[in-house]
Amino acid sequence: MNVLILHGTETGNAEMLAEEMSGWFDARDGVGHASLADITPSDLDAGTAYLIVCSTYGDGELPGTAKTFHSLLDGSTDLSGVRFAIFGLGDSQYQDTFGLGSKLIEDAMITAGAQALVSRHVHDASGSDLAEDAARIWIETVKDRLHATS
Amino acid sequence: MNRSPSIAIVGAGPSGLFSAQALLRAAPGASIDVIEALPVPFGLLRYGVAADHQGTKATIRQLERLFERDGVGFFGAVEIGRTIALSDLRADYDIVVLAAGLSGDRRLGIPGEDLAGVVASGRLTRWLNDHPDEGDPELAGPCAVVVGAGNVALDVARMLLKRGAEFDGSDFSPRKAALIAAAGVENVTILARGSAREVRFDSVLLKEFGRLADLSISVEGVRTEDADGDSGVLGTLLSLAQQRDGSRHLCFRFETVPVAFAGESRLGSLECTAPAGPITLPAQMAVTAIGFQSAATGALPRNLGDHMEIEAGLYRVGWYRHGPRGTIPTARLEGKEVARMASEALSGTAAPADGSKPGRAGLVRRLSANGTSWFDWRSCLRVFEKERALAAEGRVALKLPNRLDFFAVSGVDGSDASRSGPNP
Repeated sequence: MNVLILHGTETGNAEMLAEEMSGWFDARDGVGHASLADITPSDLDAGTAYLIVCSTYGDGELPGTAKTFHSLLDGSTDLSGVRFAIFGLGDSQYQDTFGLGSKLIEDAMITAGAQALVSRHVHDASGSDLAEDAARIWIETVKDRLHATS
Repeated sequence: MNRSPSIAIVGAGPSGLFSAQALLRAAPGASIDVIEALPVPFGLLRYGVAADHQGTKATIRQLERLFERDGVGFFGAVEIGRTIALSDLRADYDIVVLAAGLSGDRRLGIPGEDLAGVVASGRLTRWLNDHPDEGDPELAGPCAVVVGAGNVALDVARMLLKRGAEFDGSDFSPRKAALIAAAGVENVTILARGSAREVRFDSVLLKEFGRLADLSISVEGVRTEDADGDSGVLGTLLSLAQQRDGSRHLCFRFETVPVAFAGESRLGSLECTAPAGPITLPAQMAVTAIGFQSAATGALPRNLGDHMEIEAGLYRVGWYRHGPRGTIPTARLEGKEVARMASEALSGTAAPADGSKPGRAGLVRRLSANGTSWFDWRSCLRVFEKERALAAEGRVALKLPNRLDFFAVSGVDGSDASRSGPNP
């Protein structure tokens, strides 16, 4: 089982969390992390589970490093067999657009035929808990799914 | 003697700290220290980003790791050019990155700007954020004019208009909220010299006004041809202006140029010219939000052009380098760029670094020799812990408002704290 943690970031919060997450896997999971800017949808394969950490920027937009990846997820992309899970970063102060960046990626992945391992979780920067704490809980659900299916 | 290369960063705002973060990766094994004139780090994240934007301030949590986990050294309440000479720092460190920011307000340069009741946005924003060098400004209502058409103007207007529970979840000082409420600002006009087409507001910030109950919003000076079918920022603004009911009022006025602040002993009105002719806006308070420039008393060299490398081993980034433009994300990108340049210099043949400079040990020696005590990261943690403990009902923290409090809370010897007090 290989795990690749991908991040889409504007201010580095998602990148830091992705790095942190990669330390939470055993060696047997073959985990790595990379920027969404350094990968295209056609690179994704069925033998790897993709965990995507993605923020929202501006008025519900994708962060800079996720834009190209998202734009390449058009109608012609076939991601059948690809498994993924998304952890979003948002700010509930902007309630109309809360977590929209990660939702845009999730919707496009699902439309392309990829399968979500667990439901998307969005951490709230205006909340009282730390993103790492929420991510630790979330990632256990991801691991359960991975080890149950691999 | 071959030690690991040493890097000093002057200024612990976003530019300096993103540079430190990028340097940790680009120059693995380097010893990195951040030197800050204020007792605690985070610069504009702490003292510029509005108190009711805690989600934006949360980037602080990411940057705390530099000191908490990554071994970056912190030297707070140490002012380069005053406590320690830049040349001494250069002698001690292989690489020095200047990220000292820009604290001076640009002046409008019209008559009456020094009247009581006129305050610059940088000073007001620092006060709203409990910057330890800013005393209480003159606050007065019912009418305030904010001159400027950028996001700083929006922040100022919002903070002047919000009341009571609207500050819940923020770290805004209840004492200052009470001062603003007592001043009774009920009408705020945001005054833009340019046309409504040219607005530089972020629509996400505009929309925040839409969530304030009891606030009516209007626009003046928008040309019909500009208003038609605009789906961008202006469209957002025009839809907000449908908001009609409220005891508080916000007006966006375009194509209006301020000519003079008028009043006897204090501000009473702002005289302007508009396309239809001169107009006088009543104003007991005015805030100029037209940008920043270097503070007249800054002790570091200024006006060096805007290239990143000043000379071999000496770099500069952020507002200190290129003036007041660029956001948190651009500071991060610039940090990566300076890290790339510095790591190339460290590994290149013409390297300024032979690993023989003392780095942190040299700085500690100099500070001890001149009897200067400084804030290390542990002292900062004591400050932050105290600030969280002081939080009033509905607030996440109460920031310490003056330098002596920082010394008292942290246990750092403050007997010479006056040395780095407010600039004269």
